[in-house]
Amino acid sequence: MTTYKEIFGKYVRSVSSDPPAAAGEGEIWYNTSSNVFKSSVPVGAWSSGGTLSTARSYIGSAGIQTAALGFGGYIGPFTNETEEYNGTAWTGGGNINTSRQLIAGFGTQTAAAGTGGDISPGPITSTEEYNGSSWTSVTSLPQSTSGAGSTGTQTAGLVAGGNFSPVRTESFEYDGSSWTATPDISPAKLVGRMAGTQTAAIFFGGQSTPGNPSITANQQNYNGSSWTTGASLNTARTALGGSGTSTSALAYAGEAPPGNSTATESFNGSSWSTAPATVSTARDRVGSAGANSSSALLFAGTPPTTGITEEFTATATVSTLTTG
Amino acid sequence: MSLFIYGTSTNTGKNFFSRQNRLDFFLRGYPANVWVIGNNEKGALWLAETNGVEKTKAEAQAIVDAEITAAQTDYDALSDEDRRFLTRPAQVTLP
Repeated sequence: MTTYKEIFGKYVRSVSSDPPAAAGEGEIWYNTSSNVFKSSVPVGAWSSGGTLSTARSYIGSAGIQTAALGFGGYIGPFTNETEEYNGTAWTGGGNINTSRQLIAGFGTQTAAAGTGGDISPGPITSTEEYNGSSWTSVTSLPQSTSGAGSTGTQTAGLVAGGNFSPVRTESFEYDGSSWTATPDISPAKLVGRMAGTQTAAIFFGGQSTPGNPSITANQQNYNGSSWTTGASLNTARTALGGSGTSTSALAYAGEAPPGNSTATESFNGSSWSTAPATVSTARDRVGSAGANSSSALLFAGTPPTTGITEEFTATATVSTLTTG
Repeated sequence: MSLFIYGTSTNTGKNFFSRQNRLDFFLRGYPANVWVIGNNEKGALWLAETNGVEKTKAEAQAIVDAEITAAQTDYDALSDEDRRFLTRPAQVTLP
């Protein structure tokens, strides 16, 4: 039998008082004052954040929990409004040049890009870059699409799939000035979520046709040169929130028939696990941002159309170990 | 004792509910600022501290139903073009 020392490199310590939760994360110790074994494990939960000034669905998004960007979306007509989140509240930013929904966003709050999207009567190729105060039109995407998956930075972005009919398989890399076609995803899908970087990305959830029956748990992995099938979400869903890296990501909310999901899933680089934490307000067509599986931001969505924002935070918490 | 408390409370944004609140009691939001709250002391305290108004389950359900019915009416009045981007709101049954 493998011993604790062989796994962790240390014997189980006996201490009279618990170490700080963050310092003891992952370790098991014996508390001689209370005569119990304890450990420190990350515990995640969603809390309320500042509400968007303009409620909307299918909003474009970029950034992290404490420095996020939401832009465009659907409010009845399409909107060009941009809002910036600072960890507490949303404030207005520069408007995008072309009002639209379903924009594929990537980058940071002060160096973001948005491409494609939907306006009447259909998808577009328009790409814009944000510098923290204003949007500038740049090189258009080679293929019109809307609701594509997207991740990366303003100078190293990745976009794949999207579009309601036909649903696209094409993917493209962006270097800050031009687009390069990369291998197709398989199967095609739209309104899934992507996390990671241009050369290490995961693309999860979504749907392969406009109808509900095609809502999928599928994940595809990109390594900078090819797409391969990855782990599956536990809850098939579309128009979801998702963020993080290719080895530390979260999936949350989204449409999961017969309704919208409150479930949160965490990805560790090889598999998805459903977290105890649930989103407080179930919704789909959301905006999302986040750095890893410990921190995320969920905002906007429908129905009804909302500007509600929630923050996910996982922090190390000391727990008593019990046997049962 | 019932599992849940039902109430209305307007989401005021940051700190309306905290991470610790979510660890202390069940909390789920529905249309029209209706909240379903785990029935324990901390859940009841949260509703009071957010200036919420406790409702019976039937009252809360009626508020949600009215909101969704209104949203359905709005949806039905849209053009086919606008409906392309929306799903008709579905009725929700509170737990």
